[in-house]
Amino acid sequence: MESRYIGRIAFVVFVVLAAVYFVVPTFVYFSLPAETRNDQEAFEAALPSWAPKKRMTLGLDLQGGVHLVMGVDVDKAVRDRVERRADEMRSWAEKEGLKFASIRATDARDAVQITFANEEDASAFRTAAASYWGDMRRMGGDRWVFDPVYLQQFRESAVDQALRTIRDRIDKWGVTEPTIAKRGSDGILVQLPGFTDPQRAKELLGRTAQLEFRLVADAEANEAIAKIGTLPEGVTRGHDGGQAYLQSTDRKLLEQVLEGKAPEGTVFLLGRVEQRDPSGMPGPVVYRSYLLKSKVELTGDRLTDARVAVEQGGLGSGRPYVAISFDREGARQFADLTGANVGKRLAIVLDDMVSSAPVINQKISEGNAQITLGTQNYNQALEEANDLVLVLRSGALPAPVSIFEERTVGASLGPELVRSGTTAAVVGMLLVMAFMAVYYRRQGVIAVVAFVLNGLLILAALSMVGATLTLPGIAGFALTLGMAVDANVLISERIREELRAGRTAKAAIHEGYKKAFTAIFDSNVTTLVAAFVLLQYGTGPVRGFAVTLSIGIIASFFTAVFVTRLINEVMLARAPQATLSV
Amino acid sequence: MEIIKPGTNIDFLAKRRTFVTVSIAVILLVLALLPVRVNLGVDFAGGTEIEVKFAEAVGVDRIRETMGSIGFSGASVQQIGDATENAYLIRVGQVALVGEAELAQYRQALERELSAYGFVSLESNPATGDLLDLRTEREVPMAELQRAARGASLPLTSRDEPIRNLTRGGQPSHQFVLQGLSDKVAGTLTDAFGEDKVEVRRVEFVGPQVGKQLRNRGIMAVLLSMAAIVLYVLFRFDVRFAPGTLLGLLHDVAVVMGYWVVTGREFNLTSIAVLLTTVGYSVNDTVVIFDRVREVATRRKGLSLYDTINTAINESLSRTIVTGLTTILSLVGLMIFARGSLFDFAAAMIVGVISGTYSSIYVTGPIALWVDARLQKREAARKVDPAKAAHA
Repeated sequence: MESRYIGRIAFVVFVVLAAVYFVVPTFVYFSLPAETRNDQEAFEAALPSWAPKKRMTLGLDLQGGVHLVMGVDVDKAVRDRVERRADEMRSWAEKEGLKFASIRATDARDAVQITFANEEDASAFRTAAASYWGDMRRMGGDRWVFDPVYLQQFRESAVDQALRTIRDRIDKWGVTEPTIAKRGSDGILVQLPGFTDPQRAKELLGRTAQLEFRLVADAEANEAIAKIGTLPEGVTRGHDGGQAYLQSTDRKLLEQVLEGKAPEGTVFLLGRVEQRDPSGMPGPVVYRSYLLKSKVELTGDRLTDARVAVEQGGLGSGRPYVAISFDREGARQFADLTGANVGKRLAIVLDDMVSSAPVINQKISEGNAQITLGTQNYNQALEEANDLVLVLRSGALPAPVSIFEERTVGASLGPELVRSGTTAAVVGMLLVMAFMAVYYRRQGVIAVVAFVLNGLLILAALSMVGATLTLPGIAGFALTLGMAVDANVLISERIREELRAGRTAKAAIHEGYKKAFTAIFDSNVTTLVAAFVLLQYGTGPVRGFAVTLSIGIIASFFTAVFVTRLINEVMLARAPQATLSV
Repeated sequence: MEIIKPGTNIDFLAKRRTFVTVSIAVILLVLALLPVRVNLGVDFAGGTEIEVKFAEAVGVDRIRETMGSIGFSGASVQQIGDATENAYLIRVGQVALVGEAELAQYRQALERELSAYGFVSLESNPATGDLLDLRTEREVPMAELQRAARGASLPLTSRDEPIRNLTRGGQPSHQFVLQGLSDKVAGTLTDAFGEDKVEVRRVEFVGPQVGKQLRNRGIMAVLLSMAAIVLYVLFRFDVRFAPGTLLGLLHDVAVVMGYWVVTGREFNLTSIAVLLTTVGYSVNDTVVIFDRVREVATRRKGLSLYDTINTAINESLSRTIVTGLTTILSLVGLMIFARGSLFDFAAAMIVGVISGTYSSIYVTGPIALWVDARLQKREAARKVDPAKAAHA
């Protein structure tokens, strides 16, 4: 064999090996029984150690699961906020002894309308309000509206807090690989593979998150934790300065270990510890235990506001903290609680998850408390503060959520669709291959090699990016391969023409590839344009189709043009006198 | 093997007036029929689609009857898959679970029941349809709410917490969760056919605002892809080819839409994928012919555009037919083995491939000729004009 082919042959072999390398995880994934497939540990155990971890996943339409798009009614959240503010203003004015005819939200609930009894009280209120409620503006008369910048932040955080509540609830169910993400400005996308109980999924929308304040049982904790004795693998001990605790990445296991171990009058609840590696990337989620008093001291419905503020002056100047306010009854309860427990820790619990346990420094009687954060790092403190505000607001100012879109596929339907879809695609591919081999004889057989290689490359690319295999995706796979054959058709037709024009085999191949190239290039680019538009438009299953189509077209440049030409040239080099079979 | 013999020379452009007229007629006809004849699926129309499998044969009529008994007389019921599978697709359009009349009735009843707490308003959230928002002057205890709901005979959901107290200081606010659509359908079917005889395999609910959004984005996507392709042709080839490409694509989109107009099958998200793939396929065909036109024009200088285009179509005819065939072959398996939406995908795609082949031969070429003639006329007129001016 001539040495000038060696480089190109090596390149093709390299690409094929690389493709096989990347397809391995997907192959292993599909060869596992459906029940254990999504178990990451079982999957990794079955995987050869040298293989990459990225693989294709089955779409919800094929493996069963719930796809939900929830809309956060931010407008209603804003209206509720205005109403709440009217209450705050009213009770403040009452407390200060200002005389007013009415303080209430307008009918459209977009502003607080105040009518004062006299000009003196009105101006006293205005002065105080400017410093008290800096997030509002006075528009003509005594009509107060929220600042647009604040309102925008509020809308965004309404979606964030709904997202957080939903994530925490899903977290409790132990669904493998859930997807929870924002979509658009007010939507939340939730995908729960293998989860097929739509009734249960609706719990996500159900009741408002329960926000509670409970005292931390530091005194009892050390003994309770010590008594547990030997721990199963994966659970370790720790101490946070106040109490001993257990921690693990396996939530279910941790719950099992702690079950029934809490002393009388106390309860074990879990909290999430966000781990970060040195580069700041979030690590695996770790759960830790908190021993709390059983009694709920105060609930979130007494909370009127929670926001991030920054300390002005003093030692901690510039440090972010969380400011919270209670309504009148809440302020009274909070004063009693903090007065009686100075020096102890108070846990903030949302939906049975402990999100923070700050120390009570002094009695707080005004109904406005500050929660300072432990971290010294500014950015980290700001992040923690933001997160805590989301927690507090979820329990206090719920943003109503409704279902925009719900698609549930039962577990029994998926395998049937995979079977019929795969059969359909394979039949189509076999027909195309048979046709090519018969119609173009040896050139057709070469095209079949390109066809198979193209299929392999598509699978490899999809595995590499961890794409989702959907039902339209399977159809797209067959169709893409059928369409990508076009490049081989163009080339073969050209070679036939050149041969008819009386050229030698070598010249015919040379000219055939050369002349077919511009047509292949232009026609593929235009098809790609359509595929890219589809990619931008498509959601879920349709997107899978568009991805397959795009990859297939790009891969066909390589397989149909580069690889088949190489095969032709090598064959010619070995038998220069042979006639072409096309 | 050869389907098209070498040296074939058909005069494709001779009857161009007829072909272009027919194409334009098809486009107009489909456009006119679109609003009345297209059966929009839940993806675009909003609504609920439920796939159920029965343990034994039930028949479409019985299911329809059962659905009618709970007020969904407009429900579409359709058998899918093999007859032995006993699987059906039930589709209920966007229905207000609580109609205006019902809401007024509930309002009246609750006003009476809760007079002690100062009834303010009762509203239904149109986005979900299964939530009622109640506002009162004073907070109502849960037991009282339950009593009032019974008194007003609200169809509450069987899920936990059908009544919620959302009061957070300020004006008391409560919410009733009514029976949702899929609850209602599944419940009714189990009641009618027996607990273990019915399996709900798939439920798809798309809210009205999402449907509208998807529809608008779908139209945008099709138009955008056409615009991008025409621009590419404009830059890569010749100005004269762009209008023909555009008309050809319009023709293909219309013909493929015609599949749904004629069959009345469900038009859904996958259908948009078919439209865009057809656009991609058709322009692929067109571009191969244009490429050939470019080549013939340089090879045989002096040939009229009419003959150039004709020669190019003839020379690439074999490829056009063979590629069409392989693409159709790849879809044959889907036609035979795939169920539901994939069958329509394959069938409509085959229509698209045929239409794309047709349009790249009979639509784009003639329009290019026509544009060329118009341009030459204008050019000639411009050349004559200064002469006239000189004489004057």
